[in-house]
Amino acid sequence: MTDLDERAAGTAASEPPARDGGPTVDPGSPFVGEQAHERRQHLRRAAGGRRHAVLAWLAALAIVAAAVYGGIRLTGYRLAGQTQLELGSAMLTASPVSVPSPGDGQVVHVYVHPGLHVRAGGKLVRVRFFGTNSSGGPSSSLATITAPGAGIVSSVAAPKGDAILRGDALVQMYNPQGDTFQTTIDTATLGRLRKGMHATLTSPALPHPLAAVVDHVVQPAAVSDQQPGSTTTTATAPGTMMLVLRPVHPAALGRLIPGLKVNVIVHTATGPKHAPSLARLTS
Amino acid sequence: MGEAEPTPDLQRVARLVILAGVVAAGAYLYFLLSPSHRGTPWVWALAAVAEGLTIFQALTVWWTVIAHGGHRDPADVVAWRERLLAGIDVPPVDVFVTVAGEPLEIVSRTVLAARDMRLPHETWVLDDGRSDELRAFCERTGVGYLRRPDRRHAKAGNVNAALARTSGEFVAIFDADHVPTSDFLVEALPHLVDRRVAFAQSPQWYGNRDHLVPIGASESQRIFYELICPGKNHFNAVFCVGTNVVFRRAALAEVGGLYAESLSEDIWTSLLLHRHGWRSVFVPKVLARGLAPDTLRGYLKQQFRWARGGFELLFTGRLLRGGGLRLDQRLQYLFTSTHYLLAFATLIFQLLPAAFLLLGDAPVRAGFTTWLAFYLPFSLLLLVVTYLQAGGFKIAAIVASLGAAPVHVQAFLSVVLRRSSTWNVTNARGSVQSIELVLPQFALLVVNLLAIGVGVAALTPENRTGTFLAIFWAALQALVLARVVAEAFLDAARQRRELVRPPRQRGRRSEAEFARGA
Repeated sequence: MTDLDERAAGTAASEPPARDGGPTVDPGSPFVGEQAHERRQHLRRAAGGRRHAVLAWLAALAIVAAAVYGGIRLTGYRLAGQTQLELGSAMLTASPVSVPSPGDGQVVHVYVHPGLHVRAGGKLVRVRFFGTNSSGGPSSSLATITAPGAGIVSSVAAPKGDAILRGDALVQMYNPQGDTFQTTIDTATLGRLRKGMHATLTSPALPHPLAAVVDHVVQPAAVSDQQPGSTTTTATAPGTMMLVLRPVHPAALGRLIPGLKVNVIVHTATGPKHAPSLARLTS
Repeated sequence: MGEAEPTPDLQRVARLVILAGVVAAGAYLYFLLSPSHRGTPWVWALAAVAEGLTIFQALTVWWTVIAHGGHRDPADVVAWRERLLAGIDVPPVDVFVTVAGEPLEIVSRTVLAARDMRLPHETWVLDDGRSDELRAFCERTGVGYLRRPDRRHAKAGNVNAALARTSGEFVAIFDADHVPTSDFLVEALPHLVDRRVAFAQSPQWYGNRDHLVPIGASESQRIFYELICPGKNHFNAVFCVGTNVVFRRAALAEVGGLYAESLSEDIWTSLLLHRHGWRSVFVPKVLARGLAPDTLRGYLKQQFRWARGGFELLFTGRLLRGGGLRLDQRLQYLFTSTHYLLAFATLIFQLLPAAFLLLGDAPVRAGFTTWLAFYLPFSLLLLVVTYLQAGGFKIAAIVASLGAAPVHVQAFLSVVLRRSSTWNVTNARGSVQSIELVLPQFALLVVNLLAIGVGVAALTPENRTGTFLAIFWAALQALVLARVVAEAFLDAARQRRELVRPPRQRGRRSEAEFARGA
């Protein structure tokens, strides 16, 4: 604005007082000097006014520009927001595997402890089985119980020396690769969800958001059957269902502990377009 | 106006509607404040503030208006009027015309009308414009001419200087552009028959109504003078508005003349007089015809001054403490000084639909019909009361008052931050102005248009009702704001025309311009 300033100063300085035949002033009047002074001030104000007018137009342009930019950004944000469905909190839920005893007997040795990673076929427990031999007399045989699949030992149900009956749980395991996220969901919301939609799971405990897909819904009661240990997820109100989300990369779950709470946002614009909505699947 | 007093029947209907309005306002507040209807907290809080201000304002106006039963002049007033007309015991009266650089063509009409009023009086021109032409005119027409060595304290200082140089028992004051009718003294003076009455105030009435600004200015004035002032009269809380008023000199002398420390000398002087136990009277008759500001700039400047006067009173007037006032008077002054807070409500209402459309944040969470059921009765009754009482209202008044909201807020800030007491949208006098004057309104307009655009783009079946409603509101706001912004440009065009053509005889222009024959 410097050129304008200079012009303003120039105008004010070069303008002789009352050049354009302004009010003729009585030379004897005590206000002569004052009127000339006022006139100069008036001209200075006029120049200042022009500068202000330019500034005002620039400000108006800035407002419009900001509005256009902000409008585009906001529209994008709103449209993105509409394809995002906040489902609130979901819980990492393990699928427990109970390794039962195939017969009556006694635990002779335990190879594992809680927290141990076990490969499929890995040794879990050595058991002495009691039975009757072909002649009807008592007999015993030793056997090693192995893991039905890879997983982590969560508890040893029958420690060394315990007597066991057929069907008793020997070891509780779970498979982190089979973990799912489960959240209660309003049945009214089911209509907006289709199997295969992508979801983003976030939590302060996670360094990166996890990717998941919408898998299926179950009755809350079914969940409580599967999970005798868990009481929190079973407390569902009527009119709600359990939504099960499957992680896209099960390996990424790593050593996450079941019970972890995550925040779920489903991207409703993703997934197979022609899949039926979950509401139709459950009804 | 004035002569058309509301009939008793109409007053009864109005009172009934006001009662219903109070109930509706309560129901709406209950709906708004109930936690289960709360939407996004910050939007909800803004909405609650705005609706709270609106409801408070409505209640204060209704409280004032309901007191107005239409009063006739008391017997002693009529009796003194008869005696004055008969020429018995006419007291010495001075009539002041305050001039601060208004063009001679405007001043001369006022001066001549003041000189020719009925009842003997002396007329004085109080010239702060220091015009020798005006002095010559006064000499020719046989009117007193007073000029003071300085211009301190603006109009209050001007009047006080003249008070020191005159001696009449009563003093009538007119602005240079308020032309009194010949009956002014006959009608107003007798109201001072009671020795406790300090002044009698008659309405400002604007004669020029040829486009939005003067029409809007006149119409919003009309509600004040036809409804509020008669009500204030009941509470002995009528305040002086600076012109079309006749004072008792003894009263002014007791408070040291017009209050000089504020540009709103009129209302401050009234407050002082009331504190000293003086009474004031409102004369519900148009006894002078004035000129409304006919440029947007003039109008906004006037609005700034009035709003600033109100806020000054609110923050420094010691309205609730301070001795001398009756409860009714405290309330009335409080109502007057909080009037312009309504501007905050206006600004919020101009932004709420945009907040919803842009961000999706709604103030309340309720079904459309539930909201409507609580909102509609309140807002309809608000309109009906005003309509019944004022006998209708003009769009121009609504546009003008909504459009001035940013200026009212500026006035608020100027008082709170102790900034200068004049509105400084700097612009050379007489130069053509446009967008500069209305930048805040322009910004609000852009926000509303933007909001409509974003709202349409982000329309979904789920938010359809809310979005349509918000678009409707935003469009209304945008229309009003666009009209105000357009007025700035129309104004500039009008001024340009006047600069080219010989001046039409209206509006205030600076002395310098007048002298140049601009």
